[in-house]
Amino acid sequence: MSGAGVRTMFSSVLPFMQWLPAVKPDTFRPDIEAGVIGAILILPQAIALATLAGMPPEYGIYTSIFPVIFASLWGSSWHTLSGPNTAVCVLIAWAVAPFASVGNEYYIGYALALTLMVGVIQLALGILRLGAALDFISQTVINAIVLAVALIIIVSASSALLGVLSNLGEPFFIRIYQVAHDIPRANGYALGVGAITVLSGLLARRYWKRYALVIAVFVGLLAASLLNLVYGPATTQIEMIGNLSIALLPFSAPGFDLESLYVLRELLGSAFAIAFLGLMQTVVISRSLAEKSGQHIDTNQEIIGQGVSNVVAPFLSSFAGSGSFNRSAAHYDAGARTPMAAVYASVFLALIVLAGSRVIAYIPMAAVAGALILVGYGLIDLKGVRKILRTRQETIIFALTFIAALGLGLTTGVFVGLLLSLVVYLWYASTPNILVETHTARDGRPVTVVTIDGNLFFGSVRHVERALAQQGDRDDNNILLLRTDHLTYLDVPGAMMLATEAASRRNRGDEIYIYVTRSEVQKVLEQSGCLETFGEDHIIRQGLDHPMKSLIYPNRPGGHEGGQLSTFNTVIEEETMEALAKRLRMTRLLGPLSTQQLNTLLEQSGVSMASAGEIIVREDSEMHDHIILIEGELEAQRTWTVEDGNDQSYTWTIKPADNEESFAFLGAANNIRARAVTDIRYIKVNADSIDMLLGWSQQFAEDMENDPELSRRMTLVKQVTIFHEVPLENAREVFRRMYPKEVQAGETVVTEREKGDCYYLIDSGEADVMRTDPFTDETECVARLGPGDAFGEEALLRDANRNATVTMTTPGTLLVLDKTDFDELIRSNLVEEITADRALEMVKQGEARWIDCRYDMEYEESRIPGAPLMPLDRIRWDVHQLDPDATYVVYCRSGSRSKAGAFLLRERNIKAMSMIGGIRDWPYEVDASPLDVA
Amino acid sequence: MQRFRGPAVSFGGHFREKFIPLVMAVLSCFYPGTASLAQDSVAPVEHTRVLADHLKGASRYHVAPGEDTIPNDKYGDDVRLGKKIFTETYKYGRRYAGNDLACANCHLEAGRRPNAGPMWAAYGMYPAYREKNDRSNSLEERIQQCFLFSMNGFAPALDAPELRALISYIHFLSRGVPIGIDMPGRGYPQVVRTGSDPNPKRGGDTYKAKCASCHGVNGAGEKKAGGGYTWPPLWGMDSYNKGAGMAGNDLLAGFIKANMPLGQPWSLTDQEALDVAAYINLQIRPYDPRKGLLKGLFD
Repeated sequence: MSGAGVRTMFSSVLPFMQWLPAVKPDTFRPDIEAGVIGAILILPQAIALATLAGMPPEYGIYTSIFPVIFASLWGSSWHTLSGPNTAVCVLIAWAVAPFASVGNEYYIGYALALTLMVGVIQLALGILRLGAALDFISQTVINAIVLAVALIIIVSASSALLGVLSNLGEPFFIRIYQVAHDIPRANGYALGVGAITVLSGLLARRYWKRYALVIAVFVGLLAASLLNLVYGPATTQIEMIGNLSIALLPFSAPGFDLESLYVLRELLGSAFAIAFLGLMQTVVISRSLAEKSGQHIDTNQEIIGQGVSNVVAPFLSSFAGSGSFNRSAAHYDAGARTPMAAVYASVFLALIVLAGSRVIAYIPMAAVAGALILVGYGLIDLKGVRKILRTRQETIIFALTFIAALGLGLTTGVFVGLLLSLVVYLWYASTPNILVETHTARDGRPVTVVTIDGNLFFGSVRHVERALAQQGDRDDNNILLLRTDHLTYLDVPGAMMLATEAASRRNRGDEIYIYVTRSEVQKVLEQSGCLETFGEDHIIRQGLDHPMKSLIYPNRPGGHEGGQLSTFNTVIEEETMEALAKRLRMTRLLGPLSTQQLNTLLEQSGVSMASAGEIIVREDSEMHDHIILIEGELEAQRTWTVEDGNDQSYTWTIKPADNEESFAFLGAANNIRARAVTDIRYIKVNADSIDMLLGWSQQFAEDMENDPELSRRMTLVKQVTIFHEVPLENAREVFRRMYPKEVQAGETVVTEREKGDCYYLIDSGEADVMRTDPFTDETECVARLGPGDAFGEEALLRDANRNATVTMTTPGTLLVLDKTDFDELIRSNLVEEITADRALEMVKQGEARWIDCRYDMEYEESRIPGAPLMPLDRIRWDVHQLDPDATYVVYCRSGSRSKAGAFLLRERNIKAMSMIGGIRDWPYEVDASPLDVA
Repeated sequence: MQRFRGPAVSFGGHFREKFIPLVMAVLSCFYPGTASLAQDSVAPVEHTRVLADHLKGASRYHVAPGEDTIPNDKYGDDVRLGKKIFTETYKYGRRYAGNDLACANCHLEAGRRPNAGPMWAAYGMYPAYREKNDRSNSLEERIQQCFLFSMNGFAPALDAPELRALISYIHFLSRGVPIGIDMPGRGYPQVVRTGSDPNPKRGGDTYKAKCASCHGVNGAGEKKAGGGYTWPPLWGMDSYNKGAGMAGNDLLAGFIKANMPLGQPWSLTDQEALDVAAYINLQIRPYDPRKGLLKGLFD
């Protein structure tokens, strides 16, 4: 076996070999410090959770020592600490209590056997790499379960708080009834101790959150000792933990014997529930810690780590554990660097317990109950619940899971939640997004372009069918263009539905085209024979030319506005386009441009249409485009103010000239109103682009002639306006220094949270921009890019990590500019910054408006009065909401993100400036009132 | 603080020689055979009534079932565990034990011996009223108090597995015993104070003569290898506390009379038993948990 092979084998069986080299002397100290703190913090929780699970306190201690070591060594996360987990402990009690008396050797045996089963299940999931199954479980379900667990803990600990015995594993509502009944019987001393514990814990949470639990239990201990000193233990009758018998290596065996097989069968359901619940929590914790630390988590490895720890646990007197929120976060905050910190924490815990067993014996059970109540209280996350209640679907899932967990038991609750997640997922999957747009074909006939965004499988066939039928009924367009480039999945029934649709439409006399780019989609269509029904000439493929092709690219410089395009775009036949370009070249205005540049320009702009009487330019809007009239008659009117304050206007008609040298041309200017007299066809060319191109041509004509590639690249860029800020030489250098990179369909160009290193320009191909919401972990597509679009500048401007993932949906070529070049040529020349005072002045005088480009969470907390929210990563999507004539002052928290925001806005022709210092240094009033949650 | 209290009244010397024959004479009128009794044992000796019964028919005492009859089911497992806790409380009942004593140190022969607080006589008598806490106590609660006082430890929770095991063991020993009947041999015999008040100084002499060979001159007893005591400590911080039943002179005297020295029961006179008990209970031991330490300072 080669060296690499051996290493791979080692790394899968002994994964800690991978990070062992990272354990160097400089990681010792922070790890050990974290270990000590972690050990102190876990002690009260270990005992409390063991009681919750119905196990003797020693087992809680062991569970905080041994499984942790194994989970850290075999798991993937460097900072997640395993150990007893509240929800898992409640489940264990709930599962085992019906079969044995609490604390009995049988109870312990069953609990250990349960742990073994949980470990085996988890190990199987990890080895079979089924970790992805966990992604099915929505966060809402986890929230519901955790909230139910919190309430269960609080109620069941209340009995111990009152100093009264209670049964474990009773249904929730019966427990509440019992607690109410217990109140008259309560032991006043125990209640006093418990109340003091809870109160001191709540108080400590405010000032010293991390140590709150330890402080609370310690205060409870003091209170009980004081009471016993004054009244005597026989009078107060405060139950105490008692002497712990801790062995250094507590070997044990799970209770697997023939007699108890029937019990173990009953426990199997709970074993699955515990396995899932534990894994869900561990994965969530690992991911959120990984976000902070930048570590990459291998979910399946993490699962294997949990599985190993739970398989070994029953042989070392430990019950099932999972990643623990409190422990991991505290551990991380305490500065743990490598997984060895977890090992140190375990060792220190053992030492503390051995040394302090006399003191621990006197900890009152009422204080332990108080600690549990504090833990339960800490689990309640009202903010998260409120977020969920915003959406109706999430509220239903949450409510059902919550009620099931409380009313029918946690295990049932977990399974109900799982089921609901699946059902909702299927529901979403079966209703893919269907976009309907109307375009105009070359011969003027309207074309309906239908984009199916999502899965087309047997589950969603009906939905899509219905949508297509509706569309057929609604408009009498008889040309349909089906876009399958956003289809994430297509199966045979889906393909057959498309074929049937195609056949029926053709029978009616309609035309139907299909746009196919994804190879998987293509494969399914071909293999099922459906592609044939369309006919070869009706299939538009990526890379091949087709007259209908340009209906596919809605990204125009004017901005994509979602479902409906406001202008009609048309395709011109190849010959006409070339002739047009030739004619344009002959004009004075566009003469200096090369043919290629004109071709590209024309391809980007396309030919627009307007009907008679339609106003295509309004006087109060700024014209960004020159209008080149091809067909029809246009009336233009210019208005200006003379000295005496009156308005004067001048009207003229524009008609395409007969000769080839002059063009009917309306230059971009202000205060122009243009109205179509007859039906017209015209081309809009961005005036600034022309200026720039002309400028470039003037300066670099020679270069561009000698270097057709450079020339091509320079015309390629759509949102050329960024280079307005940049000296022309820089712009040219940029294009010179860009190098091409071939990419495949499905290839990820930039990944969210990676360091930004390049600026990209799409030469050919298409890409999707995906962003993950850091608070809900949902991924959505925020933009689609095509040739001429650029991306990647935000991370370079802010020196930050990528805020989105860009994945190619088709093969293509990118032009790449390295960071050093970008910094040198572009960044240094870009965004205008203004001070807070100047910004306030401008806004007060109405010269500018605010934009807040932070996340919505930050915005909810506080904002500058009157500032609307447009998060940085939604600017591409939302920019069309802005007034193109207004000036905006963009601010963020510190002034770095707003630079990127202002840059992006300027790219899209909106005047924007960045405010220095952001809201952090904002010296004036800040609005922190709660926002209405829609 | 220890204070010796000498006898309030002195009957003068040679008291025994004068008094006892008188008593014997009286007794022999009512209890035929007493006179022969007086001649059988070491003269001159005072005896309790119980001894008479005891000698009359030791077979009247209930005999608990043998351990080979413990069933092989979960109940049996509890019984076995209970016995282990009973005899090695310092090990199996460690969670709640506050010293290294075992139940069997006083409830001799693993709770079987009559007149040594046998368990089979107790099971049927509970729940019962106890003046100690002025309420009716179940057997579980009674055992809680054993842990709290005699074991100077923590009261186990009523659903603690140790407690359940002990109850099972006691239940096993009590098989066949009628419920609610005060069985002969129950508890400890009552030593009637017919003579002088208990005299600790005299008791000390008796102790040194007859008890110290096993329990040590300083009452520390002798430890066993592996935990526990061969001879338990009678006072000191590892013995029972001041709230225990044994801290009451009469009870202790009864125990001593019927069982001590080990192997020579009924050999001490009533007065000797009372004296030794008074001596032992005057020594230092952990405080009474019914009284707060702060309060106890003023007692």
